[in-house]
Amino acid sequence: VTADLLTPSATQLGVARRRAWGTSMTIVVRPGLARPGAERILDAGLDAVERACSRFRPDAEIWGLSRAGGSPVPTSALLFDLVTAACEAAERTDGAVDPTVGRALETLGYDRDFDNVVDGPRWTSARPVPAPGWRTIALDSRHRAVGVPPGVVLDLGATAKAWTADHVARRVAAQPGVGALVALGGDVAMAGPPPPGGWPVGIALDSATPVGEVDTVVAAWRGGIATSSTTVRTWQAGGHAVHHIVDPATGDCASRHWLAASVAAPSCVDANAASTAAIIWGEEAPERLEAMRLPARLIRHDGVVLTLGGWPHDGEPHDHDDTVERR
Amino acid sequence: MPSSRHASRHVTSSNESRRRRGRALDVVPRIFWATTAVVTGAAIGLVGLVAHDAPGHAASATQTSSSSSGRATATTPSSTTPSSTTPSSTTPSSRSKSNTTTTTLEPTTTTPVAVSGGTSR
Repeated sequence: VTADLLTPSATQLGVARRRAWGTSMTIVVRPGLARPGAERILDAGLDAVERACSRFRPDAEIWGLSRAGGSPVPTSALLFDLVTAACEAAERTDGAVDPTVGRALETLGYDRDFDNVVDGPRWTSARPVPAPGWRTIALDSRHRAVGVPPGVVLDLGATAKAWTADHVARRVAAQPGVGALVALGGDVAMAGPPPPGGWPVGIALDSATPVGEVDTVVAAWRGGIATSSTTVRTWQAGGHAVHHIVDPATGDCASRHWLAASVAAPSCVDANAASTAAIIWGEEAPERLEAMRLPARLIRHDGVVLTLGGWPHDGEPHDHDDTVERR
Repeated sequence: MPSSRHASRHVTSSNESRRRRGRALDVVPRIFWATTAVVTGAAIGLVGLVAHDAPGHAASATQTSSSSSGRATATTPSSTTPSSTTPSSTTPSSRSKSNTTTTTLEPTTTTPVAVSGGTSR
């Protein structure tokens, strides 16, 4: 338990931390007595999802899809749900968040756990590989089978992490009277009864930012908050700095029009899809996010902060949507 | 006069209706009251469920709005309930347009318990 995270109004919280998937993870439960059980659910969820869809584990179930030469492959319910969630995110974002970017990420050098990518950057001169598109994935719900065209590598990273946060939070909160917040590498999911005043969630460029140094804090009661940033998880490839958010249309890194995009949504998967898509949409992001009716906070490349959809103004209550301030 | 006949028919009809209603009440009183009790109970349960689920226990389950109080309420299609044991049974498009829920944000000065930021080491 990390005592410095406990606020006077939330002394009944239990907090545990993990390090997995090349990033940090936090689970907060109320009452604190539920923490041991919540940790077991978190560990089991992380392990199951990794075995199902990690690109960095040769024995992961997802590689069976690529090896099948395009034939539909019966899958576990978990992998089918993960692929389905990724396709749903692609559909909701008009393909901006696309699970078929695996080959593009490999070409950019992100072909191993990110800890190793940073420690040993791969230099490559290969041209970017546009994603073939999520509509090439065949989902057979009746037989719970997935078909992937030959040569296509799926990367569920964007949605799988958020899906896991949702899944773990809901499983923990399935216990009567237990509320849970699960933060996996900056993707936050909340379920069950929240603390009085809601779950206070800090917003920052980097999920590793200490809680006392965040840009702003919002209170949320349920659902998810996700932040995507072009300033973290970067490495060198082909002689230039790249980041992990790939534009499926080009296979190259998305532009850095936004340094970060934070979005709140009814689920962490929805929030993650929208925040990732916002980075890829670039200048069109505000209009598209408003159409999705999602509260969002965007930091432009010049430091200007844009809040829309009712996202609270940094630092104090606000009276207007679409407010702009300079950091 | 037509109006009198009409009124008479109306009264007659009303009387017949009362007689029929009386006969019906005589025949099925228990069914009537049992049905009323079930419907009332279900309505109370539904109201309680909505009130409990709404953020801050406010009774707002699906409304989409952006108020001037700094509170943001968003409505979008929710993702499916994660399950590692239940096979999926619908297509992505049909699943993504299923349920609706809400998300509410408010400004706060409370020390955060977690950080939403770009995924880093």
